[in-house]
Amino acid sequence: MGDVIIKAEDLWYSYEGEEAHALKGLSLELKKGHRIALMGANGAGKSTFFLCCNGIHRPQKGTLYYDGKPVSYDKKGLLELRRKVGIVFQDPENQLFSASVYQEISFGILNLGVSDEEAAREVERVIGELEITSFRHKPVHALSGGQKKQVSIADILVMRPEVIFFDEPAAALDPKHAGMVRRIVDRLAEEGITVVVSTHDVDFAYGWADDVFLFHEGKVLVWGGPEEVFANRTALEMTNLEQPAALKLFESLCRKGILKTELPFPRNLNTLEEYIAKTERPVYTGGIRDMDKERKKGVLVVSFGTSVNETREKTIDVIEEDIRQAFPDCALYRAWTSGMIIRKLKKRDGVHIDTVTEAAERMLKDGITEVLVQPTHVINGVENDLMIQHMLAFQGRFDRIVFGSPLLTSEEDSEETVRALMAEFGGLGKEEALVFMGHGTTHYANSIYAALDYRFKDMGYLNVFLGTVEAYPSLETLMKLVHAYGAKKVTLAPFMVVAGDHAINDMSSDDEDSWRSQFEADGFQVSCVLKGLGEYEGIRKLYVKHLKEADAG
Amino acid sequence: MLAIDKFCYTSKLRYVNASEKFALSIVTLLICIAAQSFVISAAVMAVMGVLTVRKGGLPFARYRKMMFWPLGFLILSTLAIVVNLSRTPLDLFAFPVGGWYLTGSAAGALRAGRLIVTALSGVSCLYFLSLSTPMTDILTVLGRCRCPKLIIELMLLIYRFIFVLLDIASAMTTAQNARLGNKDFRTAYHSFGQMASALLVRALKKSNALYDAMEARCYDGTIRVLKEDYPPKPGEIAAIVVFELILLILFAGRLTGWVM
Repeated sequence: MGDVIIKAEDLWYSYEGEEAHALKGLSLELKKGHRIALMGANGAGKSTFFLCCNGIHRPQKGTLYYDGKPVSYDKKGLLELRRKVGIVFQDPENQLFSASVYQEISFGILNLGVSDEEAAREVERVIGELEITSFRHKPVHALSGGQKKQVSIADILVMRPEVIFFDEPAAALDPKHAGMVRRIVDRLAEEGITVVVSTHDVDFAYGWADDVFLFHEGKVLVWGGPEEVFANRTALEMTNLEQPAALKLFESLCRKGILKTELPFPRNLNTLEEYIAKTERPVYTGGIRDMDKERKKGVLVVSFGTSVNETREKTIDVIEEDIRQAFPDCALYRAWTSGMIIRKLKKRDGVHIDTVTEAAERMLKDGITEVLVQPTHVINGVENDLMIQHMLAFQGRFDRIVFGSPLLTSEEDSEETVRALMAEFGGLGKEEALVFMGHGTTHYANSIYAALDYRFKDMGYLNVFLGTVEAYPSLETLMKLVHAYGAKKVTLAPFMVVAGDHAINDMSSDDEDSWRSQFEADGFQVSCVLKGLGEYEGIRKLYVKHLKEADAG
Repeated sequence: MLAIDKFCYTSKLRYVNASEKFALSIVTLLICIAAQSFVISAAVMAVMGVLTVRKGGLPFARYRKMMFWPLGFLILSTLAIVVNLSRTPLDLFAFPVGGWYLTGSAAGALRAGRLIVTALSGVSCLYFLSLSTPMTDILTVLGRCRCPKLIIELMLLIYRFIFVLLDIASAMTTAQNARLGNKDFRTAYHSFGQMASALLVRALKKSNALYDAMEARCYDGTIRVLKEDYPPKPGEIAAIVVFELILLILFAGRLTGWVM
């Protein structure tokens, strides 16, 4: 057995002042150049074993062998052992003693008695290898958890050990840093260093290790190759571990007859995915259409909502009515996305309006199997994205979900919209300007407002302007443009589906910040048309058309 | 991170040779104290202020605020020199209080003024050093000055542990506050005591763990680390020497009486 590097024979160890033993007759052999995972519940003796291997703890009973020779606990022997066996502790705070990264790393190598020049060379080497350069001049206490971990690994690597113990290397790190630490661990193993990792991460141990040891109450319960150890459910249960996900899924797919049991155990989820990809059998995802079940279509009309009842009657209600007539066989449902407005109505009028999720639940309960969703949103902004996400959460529970697009989606939509609006504002004089007020958003879809303003001009309406309350083009921009055009009279109209709070307060009120007041203050003669987009017939037709296109697929 | 610590790590003077900075600040400090002169102190404050703010890049408002902290303390403590309670009125001012006088002499006021500016200029020297030089660099200089190893090692560990323990303390305080541990003065008082005692236990455990980790890296009782230093520049050294010479000339002037 020349390839065993560390051998423990019946080790017993108890901490000072404690009756219970941390190690109770531990025996094991760690092989040179192997990737070794030590697993087990907290307090199973893994960390104690680490400290024994480095000579920090001297077992009260039993013998520890390094490279075939029993460890000697005199000063020289210990120094020799610690030069060859390095430990990266779980909490870097317990390991880093200097506030300077450079000094910290130089400590171990200087203890080996090398010259300052050689030490400096080695320190620079690990700083480069472990990508510490970018933060080497920062004080240790200003580093992130992941960076501290990098330094604590560098601490050990600089000493060029033959065996490195990592005590839970990914503990308390974010996935990115945990991944980085794993790559370092991997690279060390490839360089031929014996890497011993204590971990609770079964998926990692299963995919990475050559040998797995399960510790239980100060002893090795089971050890062997990962397939062997992780197939032992009883041992896993005793050590508070679960089966690795890849193995669990593989067994389940084998039981169902989807994968063949002759296949080698997949070591990670990617391999398993390849197995599945290679199967001949069709694999269904999402809802499977049941032929016996009756097909029942429903339409869900999603609006932002409004607390002004008069405008709702003239806009949302009418849009819904138009859609109902276009889809006579479908039950129609309403959902609003503004929680604030829903709560306000509930409190003020005692009226309940569904959110998207509630409406979907209601449709499921009513036995709807296919959902046509039509938003009354103007642009493909955040509200629309969120609505789609809410709805897609029900993907598996309906046979089909389709989404009609918001008002302004394609180029054709823009053209149609201009036509629909101008059909109602035909007789504009030369000295009159028509200014629409849109909502505006920080979402990138906001650019459609400026594009549509351009489209008006392109289609010959040089005196029509479109701005937004909350984004670009702002009122300031509009005023500049209206002045430049040379209008004397201004007509204001909302470019929102409903003529609600914004149209009433921000556009037409007497408030000095309102658009009307500001245009008036600038010397224009102002009139307001309080009419939401939903009141224009052409706009409503566009929504119906969108839903029909979506339904046709 | 503590503010002072953050400033020294971001100072534009951080990578100037630490011995130079150390020598400048300590020699200047000694001259200031020895001379106790208005002129020298004013010159030192101006130069150190410019170095810290202009060269080091510390915001002026911040520096001014930092200089005001000791000022308040100094004014309070020099009041005793200026104001006397005496039967006979002195030359600067006198307020009768019953049969006594609350009174001060011109010489006393001058002395107090000198004391304040001397102390402030000393503070500006130390601010210059601590706002431009990280602790670990100062330790390297102390090592060169034959400061006992034990003291340097202690300072190294204490400096690191200040931050480790501060982190733990603030985490514990947050956890206490999250459970209404500061709902009134009594509770807050009690919580602080508990936090402090828990911190002591944690500090002991941490120090044990740190010792183990150091032993695992072949620690044998002496902390050896590489020195981090940046090469001195002849121009800078010349400037420091010239400045100190001017101060010494002013000092001579102060001794002979032609400098205040």
